[in-house]
Amino acid sequence: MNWLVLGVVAWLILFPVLVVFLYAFATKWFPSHWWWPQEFGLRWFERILTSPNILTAMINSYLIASFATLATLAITFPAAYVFGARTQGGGGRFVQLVEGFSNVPLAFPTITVGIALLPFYSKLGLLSSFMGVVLAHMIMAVPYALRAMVSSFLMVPPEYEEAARNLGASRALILRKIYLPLVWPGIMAGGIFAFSWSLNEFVLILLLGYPNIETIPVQVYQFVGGYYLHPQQAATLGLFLLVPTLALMLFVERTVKSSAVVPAGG
Amino acid sequence: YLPLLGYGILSVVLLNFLALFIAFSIPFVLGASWPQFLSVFIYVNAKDQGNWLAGYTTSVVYISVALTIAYFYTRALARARKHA
Repeated sequence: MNWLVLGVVAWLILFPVLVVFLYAFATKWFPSHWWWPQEFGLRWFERILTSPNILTAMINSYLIASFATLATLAITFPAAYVFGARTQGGGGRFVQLVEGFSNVPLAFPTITVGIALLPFYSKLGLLSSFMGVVLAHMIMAVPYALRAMVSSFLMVPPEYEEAARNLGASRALILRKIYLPLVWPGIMAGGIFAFSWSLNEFVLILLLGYPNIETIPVQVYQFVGGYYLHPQQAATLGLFLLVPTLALMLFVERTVKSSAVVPAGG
Repeated sequence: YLPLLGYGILSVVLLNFLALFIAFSIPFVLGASWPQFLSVFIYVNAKDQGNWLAGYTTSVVYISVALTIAYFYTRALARARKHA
């Protein structure tokens, strides 16, 4: 009975991944007639990788994700230190208010944030620029990184910092030598959540980065939702997004042993 | 078991409902033209048709409903933690 439920759930989750792999690697398949492809080959990969638009889109995608992740980690590391270690989840009213507000962007519809940022960006001239997209990604990726890092900071016993303070260490030294080696799995988990969120993010780039900045999800949309329907090339391009995300998630599951909350995305 | 798990199930239901309520990618690609998903409605009105006012007003309603669901979710989560 257990195996039956587990099998059904695994099938439901992994079946779309299987279909993406089949579409990407099959050179001849008529899904309305046959369950399994006729020929396998790499034709779609050649067609994808020889198009300069798509290569630019891939490079853009990974660059935006890396910059947004680094900037988000730079912001959320001090915040997680305050929420996790200095106040241990309690804290004064202001700290609790900020902590409550910093988890709210998880509930924002992304298109609302995009529509709201559009007139600001056109006034500031950031409309289809790299930094604009990175800033917009930072707004929405902060709660993802923050939740993973705060839970990791909460696991450090406060006696370590008190002992270090007694021996005369400054705050920067404490952060560098005591907290950093202990919360490093949490930082990596938060960074990987923010990275894969930013990699899969579609709406903000569609709205804010339109002519100059194109990433992989925007290109996949142009293959699937625009004027023509090319599921094979869309699946091939999507594979470049799916495989790294799956690998990173597997890596996070292995390294971070604590029960970090896995956020939901859209 | 079921009454004891009540607040836990409620918090999970609210979380999943919220995640699908604010989704944009899947309804944009696979959704029908009528009835339309609210996020797709905002996108089509504000960007393609140039009707910014409709987009902004709908966004206000959209985000209010999403924040209400998020508020009830945090309350259910706190109560689930307190009872467990």
